[in-house]
Amino acid sequence: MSINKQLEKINRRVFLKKVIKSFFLVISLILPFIWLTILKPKNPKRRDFKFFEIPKDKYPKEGLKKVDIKIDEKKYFKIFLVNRNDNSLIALSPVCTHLGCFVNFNRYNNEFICPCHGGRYDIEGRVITGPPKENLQRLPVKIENDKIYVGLII
Amino acid sequence: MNIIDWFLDRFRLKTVHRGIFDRDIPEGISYFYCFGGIAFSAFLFCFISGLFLSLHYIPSEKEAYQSILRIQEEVPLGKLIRGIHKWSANVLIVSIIFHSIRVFVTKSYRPPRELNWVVGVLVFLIIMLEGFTGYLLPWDQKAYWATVVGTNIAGSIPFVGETILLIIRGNYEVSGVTLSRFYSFHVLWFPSIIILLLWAHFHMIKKLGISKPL
Ligand code: HEM
Ligand code: FES
Repeated sequence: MSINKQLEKINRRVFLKKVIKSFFLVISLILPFIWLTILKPKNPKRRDFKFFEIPKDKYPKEGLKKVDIKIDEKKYFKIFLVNRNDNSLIALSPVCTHLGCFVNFNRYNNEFICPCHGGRYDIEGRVITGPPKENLQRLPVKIENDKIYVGLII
Repeated sequence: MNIIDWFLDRFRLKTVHRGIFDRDIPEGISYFYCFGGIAFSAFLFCFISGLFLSLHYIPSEKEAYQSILRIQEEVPLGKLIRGIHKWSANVLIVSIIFHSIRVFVTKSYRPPRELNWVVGVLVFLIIMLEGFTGYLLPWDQKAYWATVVGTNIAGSIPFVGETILLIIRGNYEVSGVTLSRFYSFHVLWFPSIIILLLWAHFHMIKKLGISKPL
């Protein structure tokens, strides 16, 4: 074999190696992109409020009442109904606005306390202290035919 | 030549097979060196019980919870398999922690084994993610809200938080989309990555040997 032919062979080998290497490089760069684009939803939708009736015996006469709203046979969702002094009603979501734990109501000092990081809200859901920045979400309440309905995102 | 010898020979497995039992182990090793092996056994328990669970579990919004109830109440041995999956997962995490403490205390992370420490940390992270994604699968209230809170933590990162949240949840809220991708992560993506990493882990141990006790 002439020296030229041998050189050509080596060159071809080097070239092939480079092709294979860049092939794998490109694949491994593309994969994370595919991964992220597949996982990221194109047009995510916020779910709408669905309204659930609150039974008459669950209305708070004064102050606050914890109400389990029946969603289906097995599912209940806990909300807080607050009867304010001016006799208007608000419905509060129990979901802490910090990271979403369920808050509890403490009857001794009349505030909501979040078990996760100690966020506190007053009886109308306004932040007192702790990590939460926003007040507890007020759920839409509507009255139709003398019945009260509360909107939940379920 | 009996059938086992024939198999080992034709598979060219004999050297490997012999290798495991003939390998040198330094003097002065204690039972604390068992935690890596215990972790691996726990991983195998998780893996195999998981294979059985996946035969009856249905990863859909409507049926996930029902299928868990069925596994628990109706499927023969279902309760046992579920228990094994749960407990071996717990044992796995505890023994990884003990194993890392052992490696740390005996200073086995020092060169030339530093890369194996890095691989170990990656395994640990992915095992934690396995726990997190697996926890959503029963699709009951506890599972749902644990995932809401857990993913909200990622969502609280400044600027990119919301995008990351969308990538994780596949929606603004935790929903059926989240359930199916967590299922995929839990049974396909993460186990495959763990197996690759464990192969690397064991390969390095084979080549470098166990470090000499102090
Ligand atoms: C699924 C998880 C893991 C499994 C199954 C596993 C398994 C093992 C096994 C069987 C060994 C042989 C020595 C021994 O038993 O102690 C070992 C060694 C080692 N592991 Fe792991 N391990 C895991 C996670 C980790 C983690 C989280 C770390 C570090 C943070 C780590 C770092 C190391 C290092 C550096 C060695 C070499 C130690 C030496 O040569 O003395 N591993 N691993
Ligand atoms: S989730 Fe309520 S204070 Fe952090």
